[in-house]
Amino acid sequence: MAESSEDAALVSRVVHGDTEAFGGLVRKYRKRYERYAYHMLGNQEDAEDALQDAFIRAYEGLRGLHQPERFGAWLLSILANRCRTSRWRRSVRDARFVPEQVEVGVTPDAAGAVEWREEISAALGELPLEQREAFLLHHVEELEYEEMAQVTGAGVSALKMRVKRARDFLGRQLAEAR
Amino acid sequence: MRDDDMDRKLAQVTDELRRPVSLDPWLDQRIMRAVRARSEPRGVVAWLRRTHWVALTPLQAAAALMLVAGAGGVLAGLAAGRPVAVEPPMAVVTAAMSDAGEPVAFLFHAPAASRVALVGSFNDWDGEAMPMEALPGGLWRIEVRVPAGRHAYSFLIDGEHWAHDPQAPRTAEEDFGRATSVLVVPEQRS
Repeated sequence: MAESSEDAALVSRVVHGDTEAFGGLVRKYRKRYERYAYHMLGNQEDAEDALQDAFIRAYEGLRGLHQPERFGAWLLSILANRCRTSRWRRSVRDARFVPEQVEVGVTPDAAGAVEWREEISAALGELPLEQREAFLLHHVEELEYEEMAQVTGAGVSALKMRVKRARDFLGRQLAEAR
Repeated sequence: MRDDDMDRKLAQVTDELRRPVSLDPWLDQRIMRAVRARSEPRGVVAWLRRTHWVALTPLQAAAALMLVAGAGGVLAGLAAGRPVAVEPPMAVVTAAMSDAGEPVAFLFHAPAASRVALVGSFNDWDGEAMPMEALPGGLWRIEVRVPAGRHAYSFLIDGEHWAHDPQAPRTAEEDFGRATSVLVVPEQRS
């Protein structure tokens, strides 16, 4: 993940008492990481809680950040840890999609797209946490394995194995879909 | 499943998962509110630095306005034979003056709300423009600069419920078919 001098400047301002400068980091990274939190946790409410907790933990630990230009990677590791300690709280169908919205006033194509998303979400939800994490970081957030190792604390070979198992599982689960 | 079929299927999956998701548009504000709460000093100094609020009747508020605006200015106006119009305010106008408008503090009690915004004729009734800060006890507060003149305003609760200010006069007309309150900000005195 790229280093950012802009992030380092914002971190420096916050550490020196300018709390509002943290808003610049929130605006930049909230949007970037909300997709990861959402897919890891399976619903909007938990994703929002995880993001908020991650930002607060980052704010409280900012003075201990030795490489402020790597704030983004550091924040992602906090968020990943927060998502890992959470759990898949409710069924994907209950949390993400309201069946009535699918059935009323949508075209067959749109209904098919919703069904496809539901199937992906359900398959993701059945993956063990570490496989879901590895798959999302590698294939969706497009991190290299070395970056993933820094974020998760796991070794590269273990991460490669998790991604492979996740791919095999999703391939099998979704073979008949769409 | 053949390898190329598997790759094609996984490409479809990742395409779907890379689509943007839509979370609460107020999440940034929520996060910053929590961050600010953690940055505030605690103890007696913090208490002294904090703004403290009291509920005022319109008559009391009028008296407070006169005091805050400066008894000197009011008395000077009276001495010069000019009437000083003091309409019942629904928010205390602070002493600081500015070309950009008067700083006016709004306080609203909504313990069940997860977010409250101030909407009014001074912000084009934009529910995103002026989110209020949550205080202990179900209170919500915001301080904004409002130009001199008469304004209608309401509180927007959780993005959908409108509520008028119980401490303030209601408008005779119902803007947008909803109850609104009146704010009168006096002209800046030179």
